[in-house]
Amino acid sequence: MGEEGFVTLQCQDATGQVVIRDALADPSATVGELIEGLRKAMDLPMQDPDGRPLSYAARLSREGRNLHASETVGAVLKENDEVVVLPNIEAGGA
Amino acid sequence: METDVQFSIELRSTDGQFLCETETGELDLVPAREAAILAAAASGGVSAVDGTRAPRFEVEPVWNARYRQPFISGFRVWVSGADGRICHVDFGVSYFGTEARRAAQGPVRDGRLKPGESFYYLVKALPRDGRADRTAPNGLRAGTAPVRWPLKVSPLGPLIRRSRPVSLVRPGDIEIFVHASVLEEAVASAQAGGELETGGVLVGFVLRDADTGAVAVEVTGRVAASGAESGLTSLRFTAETWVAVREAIARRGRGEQPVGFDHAHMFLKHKETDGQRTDATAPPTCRNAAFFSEHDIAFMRVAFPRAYSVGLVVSESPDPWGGEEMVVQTTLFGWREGEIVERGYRVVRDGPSDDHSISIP
Repeated sequence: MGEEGFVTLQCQDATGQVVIRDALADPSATVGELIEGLRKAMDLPMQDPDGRPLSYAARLSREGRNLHASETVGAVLKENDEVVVLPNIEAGGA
Repeated sequence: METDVQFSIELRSTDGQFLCETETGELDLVPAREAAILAAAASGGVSAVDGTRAPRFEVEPVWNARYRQPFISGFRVWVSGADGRICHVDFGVSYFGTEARRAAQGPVRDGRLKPGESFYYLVKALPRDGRADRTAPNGLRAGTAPVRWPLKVSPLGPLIRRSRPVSLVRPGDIEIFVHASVLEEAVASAQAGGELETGGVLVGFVLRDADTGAVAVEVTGRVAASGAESGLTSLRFTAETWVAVREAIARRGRGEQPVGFDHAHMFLKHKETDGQRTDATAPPTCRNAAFFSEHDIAFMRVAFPRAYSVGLVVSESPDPWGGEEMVVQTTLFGWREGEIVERGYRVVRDGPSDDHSISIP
């Protein structure tokens, strides 16, 4: 456990272009809240050009799985885990 | 992006009537920040992109001489490293054009503007009330955000000798080198997909010539977007798509990093139905599929925000000279001063190279 009971995480976006080092996550937070926090920290947009919400998943590299939004940070993440934020996003010709 | 200044856009009709104003502070300055980082790197400020520390940014409004404060005619972004200010980039209010057009949808919906009607927009800059609280709900504290580019020290001369320009590179743009094999693979993938959009992630390096300090991008490979959901005019990257792409890049084992993506616009492709040629599903006014849509721009913003990133569009369009055959094009787009524009690039002949390069660990 890192500073003041928080879990220290190493995070990046889908392409690794954006990295957040030593992010401190509240163990009582849900993964959904963690994703929202990381989205803001990485300056990732909330909406697509049509105003529809963009969805993001969090992948835990250690286990090679996408975390469920309802899981809690303290239950599934360990100190210095790598979390990758993956967008569900559409490129389009229209 | 944290700044001491926040912006809002005020829309007015052509006769000066107020139409609406965007929420203060919601405008996206990340592309401007990335443009400033690129300028810093290109001017020798490697410390801004070597991952050692997060660079600092300051935003200065440039006041509008006609309409005066708080209206601006542009803004300046300063990048600072360990030793102080490195450089700045200036932006005009055209930077906010896309958001202004988006804001105009409100007046169009309620009838104050007709679809296609012209309007003016003014941009205001106001002091931010205190620093934005970066503690998200339930106390996620965002640690440090160092900027670490996939930099490779390499002379550019050998690449220039092995390549040919496809289209003009505008002065001030960094060079983009794309290996011929990458284009061939992207075209083959697009043609194999028929009318459906296909795509992939482009991988490579950001090069820095130690002698000249010049920065360039070298696209050395392509990873197909396996599992992406293809439609006639859409290509959706899901979480599983990204996982597969990341694993494929790791398997290449060449130290390459994602530097962009490619996708196909084949919706103008003629169909052969019972021996008759018919136009594919597309608006009759659309005669050129070599463009970057708003969704493509949004895709770049989400997945490839670094100013060195590129987007390749493989398209088939009717021959503008009226020939029978469709014309296959490989058009490259990229960031310039915070906006996505068509970019000139060079095609590299594949084969043994004579360059001597090292990667920055």
